[in-house]
This record gives sequence, C-alpha cells and structure tokens, in this order.
Amino acid sequence: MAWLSDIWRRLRFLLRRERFDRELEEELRFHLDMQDEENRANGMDADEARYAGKRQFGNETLLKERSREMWGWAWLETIGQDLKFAIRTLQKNPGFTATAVLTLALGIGANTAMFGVIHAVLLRPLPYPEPGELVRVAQKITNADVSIPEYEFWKEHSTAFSSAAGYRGGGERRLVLGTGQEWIRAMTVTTDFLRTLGINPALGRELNTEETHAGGPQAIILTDGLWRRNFGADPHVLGRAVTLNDASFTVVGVLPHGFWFPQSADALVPLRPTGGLADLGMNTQVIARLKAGLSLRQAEAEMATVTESFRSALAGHVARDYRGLMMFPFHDWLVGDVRLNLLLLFGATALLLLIACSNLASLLLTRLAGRGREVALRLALGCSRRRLLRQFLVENLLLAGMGMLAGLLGAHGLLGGLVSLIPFDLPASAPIRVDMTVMAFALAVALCTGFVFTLVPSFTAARLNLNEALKAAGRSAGTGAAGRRTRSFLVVSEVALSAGLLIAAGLLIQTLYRMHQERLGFTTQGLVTFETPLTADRHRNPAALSTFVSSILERLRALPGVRSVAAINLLPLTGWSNLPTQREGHPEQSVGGMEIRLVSPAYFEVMGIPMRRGRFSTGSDTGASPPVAVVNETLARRWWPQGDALGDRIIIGRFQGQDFPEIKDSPREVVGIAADTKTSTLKDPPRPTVYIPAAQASDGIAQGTHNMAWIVSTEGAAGIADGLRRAIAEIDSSQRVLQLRTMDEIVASTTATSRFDASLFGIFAGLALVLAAIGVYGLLSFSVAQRRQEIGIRMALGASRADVSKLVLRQGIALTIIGLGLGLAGALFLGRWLSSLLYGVRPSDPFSFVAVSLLLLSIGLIASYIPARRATKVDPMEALRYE
Amino acid sequence: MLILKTLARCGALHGYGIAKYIRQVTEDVLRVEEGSLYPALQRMLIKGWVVAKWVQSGPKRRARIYRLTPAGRKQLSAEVSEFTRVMQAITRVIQPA
Repeated sequence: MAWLSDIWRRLRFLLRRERFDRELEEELRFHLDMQDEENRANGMDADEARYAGKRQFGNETLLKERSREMWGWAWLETIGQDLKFAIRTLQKNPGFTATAVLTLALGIGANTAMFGVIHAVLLRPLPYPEPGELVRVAQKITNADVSIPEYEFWKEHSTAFSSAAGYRGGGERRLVLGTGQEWIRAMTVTTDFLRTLGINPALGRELNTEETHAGGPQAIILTDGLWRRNFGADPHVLGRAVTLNDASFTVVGVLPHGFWFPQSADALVPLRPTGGLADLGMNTQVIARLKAGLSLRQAEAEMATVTESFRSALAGHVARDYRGLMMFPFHDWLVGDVRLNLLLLFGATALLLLIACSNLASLLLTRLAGRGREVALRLALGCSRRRLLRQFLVENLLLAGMGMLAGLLGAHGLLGGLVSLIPFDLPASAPIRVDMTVMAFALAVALCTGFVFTLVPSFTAARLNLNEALKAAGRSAGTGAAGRRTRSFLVVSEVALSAGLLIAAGLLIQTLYRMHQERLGFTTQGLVTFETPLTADRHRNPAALSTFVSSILERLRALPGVRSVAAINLLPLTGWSNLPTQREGHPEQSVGGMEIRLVSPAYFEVMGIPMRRGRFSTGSDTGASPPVAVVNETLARRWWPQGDALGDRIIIGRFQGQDFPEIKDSPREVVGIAADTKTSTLKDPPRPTVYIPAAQASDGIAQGTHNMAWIVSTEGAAGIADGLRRAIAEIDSSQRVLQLRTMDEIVASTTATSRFDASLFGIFAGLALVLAAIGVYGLLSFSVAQRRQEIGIRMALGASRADVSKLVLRQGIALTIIGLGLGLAGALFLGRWLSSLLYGVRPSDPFSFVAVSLLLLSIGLIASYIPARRATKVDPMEALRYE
Repeated sequence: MLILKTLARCGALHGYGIAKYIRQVTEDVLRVEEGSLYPALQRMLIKGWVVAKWVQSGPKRRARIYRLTPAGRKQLSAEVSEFTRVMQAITRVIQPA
C-alpha cells in the first residue's frame, strides 16, 4: 500500500507546490543569512562573508530541485520542460526539422507499409483452428498436384492425417436466378474439405461421399456472400434446387461469414472423379490435417511407407521413376513464391531507412557540434549528463514521433496503392491495412531510431571536455577525433549500403533487359485479344466449336478498323494446355505433355509467325477432309532430326503405344513446320507444340477446350473494345468477353514482377546514391570548415593549391573506397538470395560490380570535389586571423 | 544518521543549527556541502522520521525546526547498531595483528 500513499502524497504536492517552494526558499534564505551573520561576526567583510557562505552551501538551484524531486513528479515536470524546450529548438530550426521529419517519415512510412503487407501475408496465421496442422500433399521433388488414384489411396491408407481433402479451381459457372443470371466462381472440392479446414458450415452440412462420386446427386454449398446477395439470406435455403450451367444442384449448406480460402470462390460444388484419363492427371490439390501432436517428420516417414504400398498396389501402372508424395506446411506453400519477394522488398526498405537514418545522424552530429557551447554551458551550470542526455533523447524522440505520425499517415494512405502495384498475388486472409500490430511496429521503429540518434552523437558528447569547449568559444564541440570517426563510420556505411542496393538494382534491371531481349517469336503490334468461355453443352463438340469459331471470326472481321482476326484456344504466355502425343509407329517418340493448340487458319499470319516448311491449313481443312497438323521447330528437331517431318503422321492421345480413349483423335498428317514462339513463359525455351485446325477438333479435344481466345489485328487499338463487346453480344447474348487486353499487355504481365522489383530497387538505389553523396559532401565540407586554420597554415608554409585539394579528395575517396569494398563484399555474400529473381545474369555478374564501382567512385569524387575546391580558396591570412 | 543523532541529542533544531552542530562536533572533518542537508531533511520528512514546525526567530524571521519522531528514533538505533557492526568488522581487519 506504500505506493498508494506515495501517489497520494505526490498528487497533493501538485496542489501545494507554490507553498512548498516558498517555504523551501525561506528556509534556505534563513540558513544563508545565519551563516552570513556568523561569518561577519568572525570578522569577514560583507561580500566575503556572503561568498564564503554560498561556497559552503553548494549549488542552491540544484538543491532546491532535488528537494522537490522527493515530493513530486519531478521527472514528469522536467520532461515537460524538456519537451517545451525541444519544441522551441525545433521551431527555431524549421529547415532542419522539416528535413529530419521528412526523412524519417519516408523511412518509417515505407517500412511500415511493407511490414503491413508482410504482416498480413506472412505472419498472420491462417484463419482456421490449429492452422499449423494443415499441410499440402504434393508430388515429391516436383511439387506437382496429385492424381485421383493417389488421393484416394492416401486418404484410405495414410494414418498420419486426421482428415484430407482434394480440390480444384472449378472456374466460372452460370447461376440462373429466376429470369436473370450471374456468373459465379465455383470451386470443386471432395468430401471432408471443410472438416479438414476445421470450419463448420453456418447452415446445413458439407458435401458427403455420395455427392462426390460420379453419378451421385449434385449438391452446392453457398458462401455467405452469395447467400446474402442472391438468396436474401433465406434461412430455409437448404434443399432448394439451383441451376448452374443448365444442371440442377441442391443447396446443402451455407458457409460461415468471413470464410476465407486462398482460391476465392462463391460456392463449393462436388469434385467427382470421372474414372477416366482426367483422373490420372496431376490436377488435384490436396490439403490434409495432421493428427494432433504428430510432427511433420513423423508424418513424412509415414508418407514413404504409403508410397511403397501404393507402388506395389498399382504394380505395373506406376512409372519407374515414381517418387511418391510429400508434404509442406500449408501456409509455407501458400506464401512460397511471395515470401522471398516480400522479404527482399522489406530488406530494401530497411536499407533505405538505415541510410536515411545514418544521414540524419550525421546531420544531428553537425548540429550537436554547433550546439557545443550550449552543451558546455549547461554542464558548467550543474546540469547532470543524464539530464542532458534526456534532453537530447526527448528532442530526438519528438522528431522520430513526428516522423512516425507522418509515416503512418503516408502508409495508411498509400498501402492500398502499394498493394495494387505489387504484381504478384498476395494470399492474405484479411485485408492488408494499418492495424494495431502495424502501428506497434511503426512505434517500435520510431523509438529505436530516436534512441539510436541520441546514443550515437552522445558518445562524442560524453567525452566533451568542459574547459576545452568553453575556451573554444568560436569553434564547436563534438569535432574531436571521436566525432570525426563517428561521422566517417556513418558515411562509410551509407556508401556500403547504397553499393549493395545499386548492385541489386543493376542485377534486376539486367534481368528485365534480358527478358525483353528474349525473342517472342510472334508480333504484338496492333493486336488486341480477348477470351470467351465455352460451355460444355453448347460449344464443346467438334461441329458446334467449328461453327462458333467461324461465325465469330466472320462477325469480327466485319468490324471497322479490324484488319484480320484469328482464334486460338490458348494465347502464348498465358498457360499450359497439353495432352500425351506420339509419332505414329514410334512409341519411343512420345511426349507426355505436348502443347496442343486449336487455331483458325489466319493464326500464323495474324501473329506474324513464319512457316519454316510446308503450309498451314486453309479454309479447306474441315471436319470432312483428312486431319492435318503443324508442328513447331522444337518438335520437328526432336522427332525428325533428318528433316523428314512433312508427310509423317502423329497421334494425339497416344503415349508409348498406349491409347487414351477419351481423347480419340485420328492420326494427323504433318503439313507444315512453324517457327518457334515462346510457349507458356518468357524465361523457358519453347516447348514442343502441335497446332491443329479448330475446324478439325476431335470429340475429346473439343470436350477439353474450356476457352477460346480471339486475336484481332487492328489499325489503331483505341476504341475497338466496345465494338468487340457489341459484336459478341449480337452473336450470343449469354456469351461474355473476358480478359480484353492487347498482346503487349500480355507480354508485359509476364515481366511485371521483374519490372516491379527492378523499378523499386532502382528508385531505392537512386535515393541511396543521393543520400550517400550528400553524406560524403557534408562530411568533407564540415571537415574543411573545421580545418580552415590548419589549411591556412599549410598554405602559408608553402603547400600548393593542388596539395590542399589532394588532401581533401584523398579523404573523400578513401571513405568511398572503404564503403564500396564493404558494400561489394556484402552484395557478393547476399546475392544468392536474389538469384531466384534473376534471369540471364548471375548474382556475381562482373559487369554490374564494375559499373556500380565506377558509378560510386565518380559520385564520391564529385561529392568531394566541391569541398576540395573550397579548401583551395582558403586565404591563409584570413584563416590565421580568423581565430 | 548524523542528522538523526544530532536531533536526538539536541532535541529540536533548524537546518542551520544541525549543520553548525555537525561542523563543530566533527571539527570540520566531515565538510560536505551544507545545502545537501535540505534534500536529506525532506526525505526524512517523507519517511516520517522527523516532523517540522515553523517557529518565530527574531523580529521578521521564521525558522523551520525539526524534531525526531518515535519512528526516527527507531531508525537511528537501527542505523547506529548497523554502523557499529560494520565499524567493528573494519577495525578487526585493520588492527595490527
């Protein structure tokens, strides 16, 4: 209870302060008077008596303060004083204050924003109970998805899981609502999907085993949003039949509000094995929940056992190099691609903050040097060093606090923009925003910077010699060896950090350049593209597909401003579409994942892809004429190294002599060899590709075609969009135009991440370079001003102007070289983290290193040149008289 | 301890009196800044070891005199015995053997 009465006393003291002060004053006065009288009685004269008394008594103000401290919240009061004083000092120096606050706001704001993203994506746990138990099950080594037989076998035999489920992105489906319709995203999932996640439906149940078997009843689970939007949040929605893509589904459940899954969807529908080829594809993602308390390693061991029994159970049907399944923590897998990129960006912003801070620290040092007299005077008047330190701390914390506020405001305002600029998907389970955690982070950063700023300069202030400082009236304190060493250290680290950032930026820019240098193999000029989804019942059979393609092509060609049009099932650089394919009569010449493209006759002409040999189909290759195909150069080289491709035949849907009945394509005669184009990615070489006329699609191929893309060659791309949309709507009002964009935009989207990284690092590196240059310049200017007298003496003793400027330049260059060396070493060491973001350039690329060295050296030289010139202008007479 | 002892011996005294007494008794051996007496007195007031009272001293002057409380007396004897204990220990160490 002692502290209670303590607080009570201190509170009471607040009210009685004046009286206390008066009484203390009176008491001390009494003491001094008495002493005075006694001294005089002992024969001293009046003045002498007073001085002797005071000497014996000690520092009156300090004593009063100490007495007061016992009673009240003196530290609070003095902090109030410090604060007032700090505000006054900062107000007197608006230039300095603005620079410092802006620098800090930039550094703290950028870091806070990046931390906001990282917090939402990497740190926040997934919104499921015990998220650590969730794992992704995938192919060993390749991390590819899982086939249905594997999924079923593991689900039945594995003892490591308490629950497991498969899912696929189901794509968009048309939901019929009375008279209207809405396109919704339906995800296909197996039974136990919700049980695995640990989510209970708000209404009803999850899909059961009958519903997720071929031929079972069709069922649908609505998300909360869809339920509210289209079913009026009807609590009796269960059992209602809804129509999706002309098929009827019964509503069996509604998901809870706020349900989140990385693949966003409006509804869940059953994933049903077909019992055919599609089951064998590695196309099902599997998520499982480990039994409670089971470690990942124990589960891994169990996976290996199950792999063995799977191999023996399916003896003969499992490829020889089959490695089985493995697992990763689900969250790790989810953020896998993003993690490195985000951490790198965070690293870059942290470096920026460091550079900004070191620049600010040297600014503070300069300022402290200017305040040397003030500091010395205060020390002489009995101000304790602790108190002095606190004063600086309050000042710097005030600066950091203002910087933090501005930075937080900036981060809050810009986070949305930043997130939309980031070209890769951010799997965040909640909106990315400035929340309490992020604010706490900003506060921590601000506090750290405030403390560091205080500590670094005070190392020099603590050694401040009182007498020296007071004597050196005109000169400034904090300029001794310690001060200079601290500032040199700061400048060296700035140069080192900016060297690191410059190298990263250089490597990323080269990556971007290399990617743009890649030959696409097709033209992009004036090409506008869009996609239309194909529905199973209306388009996915050979005759309907052929009619659909030709009628749309015809309609589009008639539009004003359109030169020519073509169709393909999948545009280059937008994905994969592969089927097993074999050269007829050569089982050893098989490709498991041959890229198959359905194209209209004009495709090669519109895309500017030259034919190396033979011809492409004309309008005369129809469903009635003999089937033909065009292969790309890569395939031609692989299967017909002698160049005898034309006239030979290939079979889609056959692999190593084994037929896949669902594809049922007839052998096709190779009639042409087309030049290579980039297939799915810019970074990888072209894949073996077979082009077949859209008019000749077999049943199986037409069945598997979910999209058709249209390429329109225009005279000017502007204003064509509306015409395209109208034309499609006229042909089929239920048809949609998706992904309307130019070919250039498609190419640009594949380099978006590299461009983003390169430009961000480029900006950071540029800022760092400017800051480093200012740092070198500032240090040298300061030291030239300090050494005026010395320089004057040197010149008076016969040093030439060249000698003097060499003196200054040498200092600047030495600092730059040391920083550069450290920076290059660091970049060499840390470069491997970058390597997965690089393309066509190694992290130790000598060109970047040399270029960055030259750049930094010349910047260092320029930054030192001006102070060096100033040094040569020193007039020896004036410099010597200056003191 | 010195202040408490002084008050114990002389009864009520003002600050100057305490300082003067200590100066005389110790024969100027322990000459500290006399001002530091006052923060110490304030601390003892807070702890409740002494009480203070203003008394008239001369025509236009008041002095604050301090008097020991029972708690102060107890504190004094505790401090004295502790001090003696330490002193004896030190004496034993420095005594020639």
